[in-house]
Amino acid sequence: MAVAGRGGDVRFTELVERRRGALPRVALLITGSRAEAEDAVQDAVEAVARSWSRVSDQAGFAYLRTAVVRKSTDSRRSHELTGDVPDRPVEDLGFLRLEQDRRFVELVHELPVQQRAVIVLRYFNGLDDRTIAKVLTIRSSPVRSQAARAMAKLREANVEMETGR
Amino acid sequence: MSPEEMFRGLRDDARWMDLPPSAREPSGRKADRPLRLVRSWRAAIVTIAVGALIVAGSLALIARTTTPPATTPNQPVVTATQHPTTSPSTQGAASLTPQTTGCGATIPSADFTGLDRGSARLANGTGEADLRIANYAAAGARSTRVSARVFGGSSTTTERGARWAGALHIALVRGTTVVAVATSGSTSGTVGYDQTSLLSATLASRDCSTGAPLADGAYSIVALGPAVTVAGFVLHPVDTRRPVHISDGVLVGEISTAPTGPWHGTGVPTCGSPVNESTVRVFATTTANQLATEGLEVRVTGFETHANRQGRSFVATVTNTGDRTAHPVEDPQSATAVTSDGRIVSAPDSGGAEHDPDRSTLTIKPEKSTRLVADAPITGFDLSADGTVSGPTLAPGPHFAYVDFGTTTSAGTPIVMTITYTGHNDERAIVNQ
Repeated sequence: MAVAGRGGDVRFTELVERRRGALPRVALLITGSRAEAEDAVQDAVEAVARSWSRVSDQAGFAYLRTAVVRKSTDSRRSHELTGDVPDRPVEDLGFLRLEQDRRFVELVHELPVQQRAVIVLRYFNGLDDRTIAKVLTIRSSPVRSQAARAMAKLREANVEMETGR
Repeated sequence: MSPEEMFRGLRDDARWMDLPPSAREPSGRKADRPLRLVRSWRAAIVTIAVGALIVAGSLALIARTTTPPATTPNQPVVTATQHPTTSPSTQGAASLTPQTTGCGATIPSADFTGLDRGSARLANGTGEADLRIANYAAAGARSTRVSARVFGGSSTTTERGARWAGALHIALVRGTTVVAVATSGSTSGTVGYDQTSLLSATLASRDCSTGAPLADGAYSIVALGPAVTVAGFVLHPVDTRRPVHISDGVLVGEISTAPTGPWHGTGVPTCGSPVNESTVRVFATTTANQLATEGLEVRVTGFETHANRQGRSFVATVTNTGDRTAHPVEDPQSATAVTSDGRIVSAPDSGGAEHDPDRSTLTIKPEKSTRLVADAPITGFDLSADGTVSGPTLAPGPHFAYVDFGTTTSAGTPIVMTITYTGHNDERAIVNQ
């Protein structure tokens, strides 16, 4: 896979190589599908490659991650609009090792896509609300409210799951 | 366990996976990953309590064994298991059209006739409508995932604007017998406006009739269009076929019947010039495999499987390792632009359009939607535009393509469009709205 090239191309290729594990994971948590996650990452990689010359070294990963998150949420939204919400187990990328992980991620996928993206960025990626707002192009206050609503639903669903209700 | 704790666990696992293998296991213990049975301190306490019970039970058993009891006690058995890392592949075949796509069904080879580059045209009811499935690709060695790009168009205005929707049925065929089937998610579009949707489905690697692993050999991927509803009538399934090969039980990719076609992209030398000294970045409408067969070394940034799906762009570094030259430019005057109702609005040799052979440009003045017709299969588009163009919808077809400029294109904004035909390359149409 990847390599060579010159100048910015090398930086870009190296960045993609370095983050090739992390980016699909975020996309998977948002889309719930390995195939869709890989498509989102691929589309993002291609889109960023086209504008890479305008991206600074420092901003490279954030730029790429933002592209991946947006592609993932767009992909999910379009599927939800067409009624194609998959009724299938979460397809793994190798890091959902426990059954409870898998069940938990399935619960996450029952959330609306924006709530899902917010909590994935906040709790999985550890981003602050301001950065999340930027990535999702929303204001900070909805980030907080979406996160609160999502976590409340997850807690409720988790209790139900654990108590077998 | 709280959601925060679950996310923390997932994040820890992800970080662990990102470590180089040597850093993962400082103690030298051979393990793909530390055995983790519990995630939180609460679960740990429960585990400890269970362990204590086991120990107590064992001690009690030992004591009873030492002094033989009158009856044999029930020994508690506690097992801790780690769940498998992958789940069995699933496939859905419930909604397949039985007479043509069910497991074990026979698909007459006649169904494949008249197809060109993965597309088919249907004559249907009162009008002629297309549901074309183009750009097949078998995924790489990792899976038997198959993708197809679907779009609905119409050569008449009868059904324009009607919505269509449906799923793609994909069958793996040996000879004429279906041995594996799968159904993609559904998608929808508007007839004549050619939204394209990438649909995918994963085929099982076992024969659906016998359960045996698929034998090595040549197969066909048949994508069957759904029974979609368009303007109140139903389009029949569209069949088309792509040959694939299975080796060691794995679908290894498409043995393409499509020509190893033209390619274009940023930095690619102009048509006719040799690609011999530099590396170029390619956003190609052909596949990495196809480029490689042309004597080009292709290094892909991203997923190689995606780079081998026809119709997908990918980022790659391409180096010419032989004496391969770019496809020569053929006479682009064979391209003609017609409006959606079939009227020719410009043709290079009729004086309705300007053709500049030096710049390989073709200037056409289409209406809001137009259809480009060529004498060779149209395999791809690229587009650049100044101003506030929201991007037309482009969809390649066998010998024609629809171009829909949407509703937000600013009048007078020039659009430079690169249309790639089989046997032609880097033809550019400057479209002035």
